[in-house]
Amino acid sequence: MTFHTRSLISIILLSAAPTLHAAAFNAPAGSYAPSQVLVQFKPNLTSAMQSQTAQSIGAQSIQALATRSNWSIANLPAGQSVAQAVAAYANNPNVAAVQPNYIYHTMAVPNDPQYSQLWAAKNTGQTITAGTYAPTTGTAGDDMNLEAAWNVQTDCSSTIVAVIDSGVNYTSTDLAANMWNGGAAAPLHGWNFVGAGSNDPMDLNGHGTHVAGTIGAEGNNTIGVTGVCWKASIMAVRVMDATGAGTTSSVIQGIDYAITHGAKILNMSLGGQGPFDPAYSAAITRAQTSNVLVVVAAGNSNTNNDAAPTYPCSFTQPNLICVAALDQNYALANFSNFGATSVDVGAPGTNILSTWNGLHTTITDPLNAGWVFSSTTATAAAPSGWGYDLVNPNVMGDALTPTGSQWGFTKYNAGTDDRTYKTFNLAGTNTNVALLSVSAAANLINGDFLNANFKAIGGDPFTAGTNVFSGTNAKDGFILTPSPKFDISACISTTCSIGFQLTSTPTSLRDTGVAIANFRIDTVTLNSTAQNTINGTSMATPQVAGVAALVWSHNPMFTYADVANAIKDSGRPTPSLAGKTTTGKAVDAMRALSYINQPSGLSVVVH
Amino acid sequence: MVAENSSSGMFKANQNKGYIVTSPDAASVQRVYGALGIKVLRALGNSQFEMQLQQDAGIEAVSNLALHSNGAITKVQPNYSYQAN
Repeated sequence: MTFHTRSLISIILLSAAPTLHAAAFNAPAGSYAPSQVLVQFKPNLTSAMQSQTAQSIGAQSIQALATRSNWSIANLPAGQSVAQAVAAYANNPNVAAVQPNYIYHTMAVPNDPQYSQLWAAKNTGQTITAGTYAPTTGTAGDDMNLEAAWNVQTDCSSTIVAVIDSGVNYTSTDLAANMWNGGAAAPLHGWNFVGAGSNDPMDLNGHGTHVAGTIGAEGNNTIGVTGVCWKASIMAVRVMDATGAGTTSSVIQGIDYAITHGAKILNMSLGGQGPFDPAYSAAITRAQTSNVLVVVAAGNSNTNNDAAPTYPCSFTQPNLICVAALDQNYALANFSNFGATSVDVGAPGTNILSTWNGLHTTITDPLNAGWVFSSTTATAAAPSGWGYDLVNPNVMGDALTPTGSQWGFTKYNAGTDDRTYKTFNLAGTNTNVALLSVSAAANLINGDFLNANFKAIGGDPFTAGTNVFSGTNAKDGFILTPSPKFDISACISTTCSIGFQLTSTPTSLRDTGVAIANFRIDTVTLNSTAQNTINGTSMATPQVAGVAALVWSHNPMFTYADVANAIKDSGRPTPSLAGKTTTGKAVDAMRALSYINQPSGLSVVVH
Repeated sequence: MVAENSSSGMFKANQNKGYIVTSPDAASVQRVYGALGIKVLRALGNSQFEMQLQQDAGIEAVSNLALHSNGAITKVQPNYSYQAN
């Protein structure tokens, strides 16, 4: 860490008051030399007269500044405070100006090797080398002013932040030291509420680990990146599975767990458009009752949350801050949701580098070789069944013509069971997760089904295999990649067979069947050193949660309302957020730290 | 929330995540919905339970049973899906 400028508070005072009177002097102790003031004498005052003036106010000595005529350092006598001296000099007719002799520091800059890529902390206009969102360069100064804030506070470890997400890779070398200590009851730093639940909130997706790193990747440790907080207490609360999906039931359990175990801030980089969710809302209210702040993402569909509510962003509890994403020029990111009454602030959310859960690899298949086909009804006279589409590359379909021309021109047979499968090696090197995604165009009579199955030991997956998908009744219906993804981790082996089946009833009126495309398997091998650069309001949200942790750690007596006000009231006015958010502001960490809580509940009696 | 039917059009998939029901105890939930075959019943705290049914007739039918449960089921809602942003 190096130092080379001073805090914002003092800069404001310096520029605002060329002649400073005692009434205006309120700089915090420690921000100026305790026994000196800087004095500017009026023009044409001789050195002797300057000394005489200073002595009349009690100065022990004065020292003229070599490069500034008429400016001198006055050394104060014992017992005279800087405030008293400022007042005395300001009232002297020979003095043009007086001010404290402020102490300047350099900004706090951590030694993490990837720090220069963290434009949210310090935007110099640098290029984010792994960035995928255009632009990958930006405007210097469009950042969260973190270096100034770090002169005041870097340690958030007194404020537990719950990352309610896909889990956290708590073995990350940049996170391990900053994970919440859950004691014997939670030895893995949190809890898993997906499915039947467990005490292991390991992140099988990556999203939660990225969020956690933005809040609290250990700073100044010569490893990777730094979070908004250099030191933190991150509680890992897993409510979303390996595909990044969760439910009301997992989310509300996660919220209640975090509240019960002492979290003061909940980060929820998740959401969805749809009806009001009463159970979720009640959980947010329980957080409010427990003086817990909730920071949530606006959403990534470039829609107005006021018109199409997105939850949790559109909940109205006062302990909730909803965050939009800004790019490197502080324009609203093109994917970011907004809302003049529902979204509160903006924060950096594009090309964000942070910790990641492991090595992600992708297996694709061109769907033109190696698939086993079978049909219970295909004959020379009625030849439908699975095959490769020779017109559309990378498409495999049922109800193709015998010569395999183009899907959609013939109908599948009634009373058929058409199957296709292929064997894949998913074992890799200690693969932990495998997810299947495909596109499927479907024309299916109600009661005729498309099924997708897998089988770890190979062979026909529709004999003693596991079903991951079953659908019927479609007319030009599509399953669009990359969603949904299906967790086929139970198929991790060297002989994982994956297949598709079309079944029809004996009395089916028949249709043109199914076309499979964009076949893809994503695998994850967990490790402790991975990083990733991604985009989303999910990435903007933890920037704000981190700032909230800085503020709350700096002001432990604050309520959730104080912290929320510090963030929302102090932010930097940003044109792209005007009319798009409740504040029109981007979060500024230093301004939030400088926010002075307005006393409440005080009464004054005037006599 | 993500639509229960994850594909567009009329493609109906097995994506139903069940319901959140509010009831004093699990026995009451069993009494009201047992005939539909309770596949999953998990206590969530705050008198809430996650429930998945083998014979799932949809939220209207499930709500109708709650309305006629004489207070055994005080609230019921879909178990909505959420996604990482």
